[in-house]
Amino acid sequence: MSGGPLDQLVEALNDPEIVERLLEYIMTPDMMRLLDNLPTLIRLASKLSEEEAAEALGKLISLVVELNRRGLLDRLAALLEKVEPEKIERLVETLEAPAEPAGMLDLAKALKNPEIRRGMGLLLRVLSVLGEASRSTGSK
Amino acid sequence: MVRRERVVVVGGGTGGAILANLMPLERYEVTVIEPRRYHYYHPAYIYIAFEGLKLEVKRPVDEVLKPGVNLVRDRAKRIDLDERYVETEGGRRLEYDYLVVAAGARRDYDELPGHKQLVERFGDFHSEENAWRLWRTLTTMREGSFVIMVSHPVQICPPCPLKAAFLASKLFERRGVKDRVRVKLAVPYPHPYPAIAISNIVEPMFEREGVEVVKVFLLEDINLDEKKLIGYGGAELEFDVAVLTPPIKGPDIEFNTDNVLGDDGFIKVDRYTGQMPGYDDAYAIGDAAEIPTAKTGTTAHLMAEVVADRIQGYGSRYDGRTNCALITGEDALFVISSYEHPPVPVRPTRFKRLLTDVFTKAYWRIVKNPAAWRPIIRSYLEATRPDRLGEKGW
Repeated sequence: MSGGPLDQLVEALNDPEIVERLLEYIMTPDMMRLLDNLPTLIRLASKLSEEEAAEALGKLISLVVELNRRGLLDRLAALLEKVEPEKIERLVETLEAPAEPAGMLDLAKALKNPEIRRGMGLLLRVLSVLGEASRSTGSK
Repeated sequence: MVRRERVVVVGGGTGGAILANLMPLERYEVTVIEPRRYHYYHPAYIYIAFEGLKLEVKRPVDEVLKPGVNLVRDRAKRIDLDERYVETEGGRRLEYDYLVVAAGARRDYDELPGHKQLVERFGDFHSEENAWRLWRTLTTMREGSFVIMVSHPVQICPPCPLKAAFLASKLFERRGVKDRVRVKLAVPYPHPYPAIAISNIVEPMFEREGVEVVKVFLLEDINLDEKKLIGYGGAELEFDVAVLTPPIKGPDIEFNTDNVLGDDGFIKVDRYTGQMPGYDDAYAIGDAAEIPTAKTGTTAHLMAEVVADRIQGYGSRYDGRTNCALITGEDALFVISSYEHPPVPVRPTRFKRLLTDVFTKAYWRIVKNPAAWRPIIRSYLEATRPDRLGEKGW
């Protein structure tokens, strides 16, 4: 043995068996893909040199960890699976369109429409859940 | 002292030299038969022809072999697989315990009348001399059509003509004549490349690059006077400069039996072991072997490793892995496949071009000391195994 600790480390790393094990550990399909896209990754990572971006990302990561701890992340993922983007789009369009004022008479007329009745049923169920939730959190 | 077993290697190219350098000389007496003085690094030709690069194309064969390997400067003429000896043109008789034929493939410039004249006039990218001639042709070409023609589906290095088309287009761009010189790639297949995964990636790139791909062109004739390539069914392709991939044949070696000779003189072998049918002491590797994979340096290299192992009693097998580099300019991609997996989608990137250039720089060291490089190459091949990359590719 000669040289300092670094020389000895290099010597050990030059052993063919160590080289093979090291490379097997490092070289994976994902690693090859990562190396392929290094410039993109560096561009993304360089955004973190702005303090505000780093802080925001840090918060986001904490939030995701918290969601995961409470078991909400899986539920969110399951919910996303069910979401149909076209329906959301229609809902947003409807909310954005100007609406005419409606009175009791209009309501009575509208209740003849089966879709509105189904919607009303859903609304009543949501109201019931909201009421229950407000009682358990102690709201008046 | 125990007699060392005799390994006779016919050919001192990539496969032959790597095999010889992998054999432990304390157990084996290794003799390489090679008529040429030099070992050539074939992929360098394309860099010469299209980038004018002065690369180290050749080294004397004896400098490529490790000390202790015998070199016989002669041509193997006849092989007797039953009596186990190789006869040379110079009248020598070399007896063996193990035989490895790594004699490469022959390019046949005589099959198509007019082909020789084309090469004499313009050059091509299949030898050092021809590559320099093509470089001179292309650096003085001012206008017209430059046609790269894949004359036969069986060829050495299938990605080479595509590489040539990309690099030619870049060269004309650098010279400021791109609007006057049209690059055309004519192929016998219905896509630019035989494998669809690769075609899907390169076809839009050729479009962007302005390279015209002429598909299903089956070359039948060359009309030198009218500067036209004539295809099956009367199709015509005009050229001002044309380069053809030459048809290839197996090595010109006579055997005592016809059982080992396949189509066009290629040697029949078991695709996984490289073993000749009926002989457990005779192998063929690389371009000389008749196996269903691309004829490239990677195949020769990996088969050499497998056969070197098998001679020593290990059960290695060659899975048909390819890793042909397709340079598209500053980027490169690899054609990655095996017997079980057709080429996976591999996108061209700077990193892959860098890997290609590292390999080119390291070539002479790899050939001389393949055992030292084996873990590195093995890890790379493992990380990029076609079944591991899958449909996502790389």
